[in-house]
Amino acid sequence: MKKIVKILTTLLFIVALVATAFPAGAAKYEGVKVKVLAQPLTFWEAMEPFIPEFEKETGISVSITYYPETERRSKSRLDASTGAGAFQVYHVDEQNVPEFANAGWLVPIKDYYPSEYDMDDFAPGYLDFLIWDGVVYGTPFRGGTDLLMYRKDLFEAENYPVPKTMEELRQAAKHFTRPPDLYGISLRGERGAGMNCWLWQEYLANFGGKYFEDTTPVFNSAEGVATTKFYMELIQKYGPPGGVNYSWSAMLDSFMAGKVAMLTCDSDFMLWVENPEKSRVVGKVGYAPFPAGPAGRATNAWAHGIAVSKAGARSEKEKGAAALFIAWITSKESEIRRVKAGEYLMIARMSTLESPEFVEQLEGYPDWIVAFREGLKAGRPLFPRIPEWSEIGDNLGIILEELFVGTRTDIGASLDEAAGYAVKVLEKRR
Amino acid sequence: MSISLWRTIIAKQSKEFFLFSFPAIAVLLLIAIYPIVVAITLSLQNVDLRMPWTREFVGFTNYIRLVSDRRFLNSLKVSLIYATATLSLSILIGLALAFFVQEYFKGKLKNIILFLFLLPFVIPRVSVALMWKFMYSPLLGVYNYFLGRVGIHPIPFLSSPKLALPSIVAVDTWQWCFFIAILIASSMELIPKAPIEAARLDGASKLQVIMYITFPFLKPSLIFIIFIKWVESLRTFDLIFNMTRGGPGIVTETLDLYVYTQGIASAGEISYASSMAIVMLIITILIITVASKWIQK
Repeated sequence: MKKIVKILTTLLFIVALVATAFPAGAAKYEGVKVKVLAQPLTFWEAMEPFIPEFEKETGISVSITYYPETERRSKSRLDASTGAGAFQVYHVDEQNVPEFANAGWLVPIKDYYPSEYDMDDFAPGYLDFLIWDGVVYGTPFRGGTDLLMYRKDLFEAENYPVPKTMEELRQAAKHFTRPPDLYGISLRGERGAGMNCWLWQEYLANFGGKYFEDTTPVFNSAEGVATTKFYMELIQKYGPPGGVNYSWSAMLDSFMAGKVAMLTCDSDFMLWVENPEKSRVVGKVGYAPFPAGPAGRATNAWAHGIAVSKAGARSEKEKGAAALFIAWITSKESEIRRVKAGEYLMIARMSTLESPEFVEQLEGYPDWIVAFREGLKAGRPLFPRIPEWSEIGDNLGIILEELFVGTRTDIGASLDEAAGYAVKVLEKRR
Repeated sequence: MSISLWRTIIAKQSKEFFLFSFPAIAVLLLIAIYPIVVAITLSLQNVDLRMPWTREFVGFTNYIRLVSDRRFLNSLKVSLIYATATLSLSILIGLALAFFVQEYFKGKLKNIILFLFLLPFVIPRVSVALMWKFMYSPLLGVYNYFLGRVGIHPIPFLSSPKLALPSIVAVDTWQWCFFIAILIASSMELIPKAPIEAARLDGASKLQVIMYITFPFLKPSLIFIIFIKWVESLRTFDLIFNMTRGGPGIVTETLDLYVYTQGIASAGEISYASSMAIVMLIITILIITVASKWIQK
């Protein structure tokens, strides 16, 4: 009996010691592992040095594994669908939230967030991407929209006006095409739902078209044909050699090498263009709002976010720890930290835009701020948020690329074929 | 070997034979047979990663769909063209290089050259792909730089539907032909000198020596190389994926790439993709059977 009392008191003592050594919240998740499947982005790079701090505070151990965009998508799809669950947290983008949420691979996360976490502060356009059927599946941590980049030095030297409309864009592209030293414009040509379709859909919206009317594909309309014709003229006549199937990175490379006068591209390409180690056009670039088409201005908006995997975070403890990690890495304080570290584009909160740190970081680029704000005003999700989109877009992307490189010539028939394929894919699911 | 012969062989074995060979058989079943059985089962179902809750047997529906799928037919064509082209080019160039080195270099110098031949082969495929992609670039690449110096307009090697596949074939050939040359050169070392000298004395020409003495000696190792290279070429993925992703359009989309896109990357139709993989397996088995018949002659 004495022995048992002795053991019990010792045990009690140990428990008391452990409990006082850590704050209440911390002990809750002590030793829980949070594995993140991410894509190499400066967001993660900027936050990595602060992760030990979070680990120390909460006792959660965090590890991040990186895969490039396409591989990250397929890897997380594989991880979730097979139930392997090697990762608790997925880096998600605008394409895979609907698919993953529909398949039931994500944890409805809102209730797991700490009560003091401010969700209403996020840019509503960004947050929309993490919501499916009215359920919040994660938090955006960055987003963007599109704008026009042009070679300020060239335009100013000739006093050439900056294009405000699609027609002016075409004329400027023609004007600055002077092979082999300079070409008018680089566009996305390489196949892919997130590649050529991404920019093409933006032109389509500016020409008054869209992908779907309810569930019927309408991108083979007259607007669709006009858009494709316009896009093909730019890419084939005023683009650099090989530009017919540029990926976004090849497009950016051509601009940074000083071979191209204009880009219609993501707002955050500015980071590369103004980097003296990578770019030859530092300080020579001007920024303007995306040129408006006959139907007014429409731009892509998009967001990347973080979500919790059902297969990975099986226990309530794991879900709570993952939510705590997300809440921490997307908090106001973390955003300001990123802005201070120079990663002023890796933000998603409205309050950060107003912060003195943000304005200070963008000193010298007032035209970028204007172009960015105009883009956000017109920004909306332009692609269909349906799980089948990656398959439909993949096929449309191939057909568009074939038109660009010239293995197809009949625009109308080709778009009809893509629309027919879309109908078939949608039917399969019914 | 006939079945009755197998029976006598099995009947003659002791109990220990089966006991000791069991681990090997189990491993074989687990890592070679099991995945194939799973793939065959999948190919007869309608499993889609985006709708993991449905799993029904649909018979040969997937195989019937293949016949009218333009991307599948195209990828089959691309795979066969790619495999044939890289195989024949790398073997021909490899042979020529081996004969050249064997004829004109001796001793240490020869060893140094053969060592240099090994270099392209030991570079990781992904690095090779990115390296060549950069060299092929119309704006920033080295080839177009020199073409530009002599006044030729930039050639978009990987963006042109006509040049993309040959450009990739060239890279694969570059990586393999030197290695094949090493393999051939080392088997040439083993050819006995006596018959060659005898033939020379009898007045045979150089060409006759190659045709009637060297070549028959090389045949077994050549056959081995052809098998390895053929199968390697048929299931190539890394090079094309990193250079063109199957583009422009679907001009360089091999079967492996299409299986990957349709199965995992963009569609998630794992059953449909499995049916393609099974077709590929059957084609490979057919090729090997036909080829080994031809060799036994």
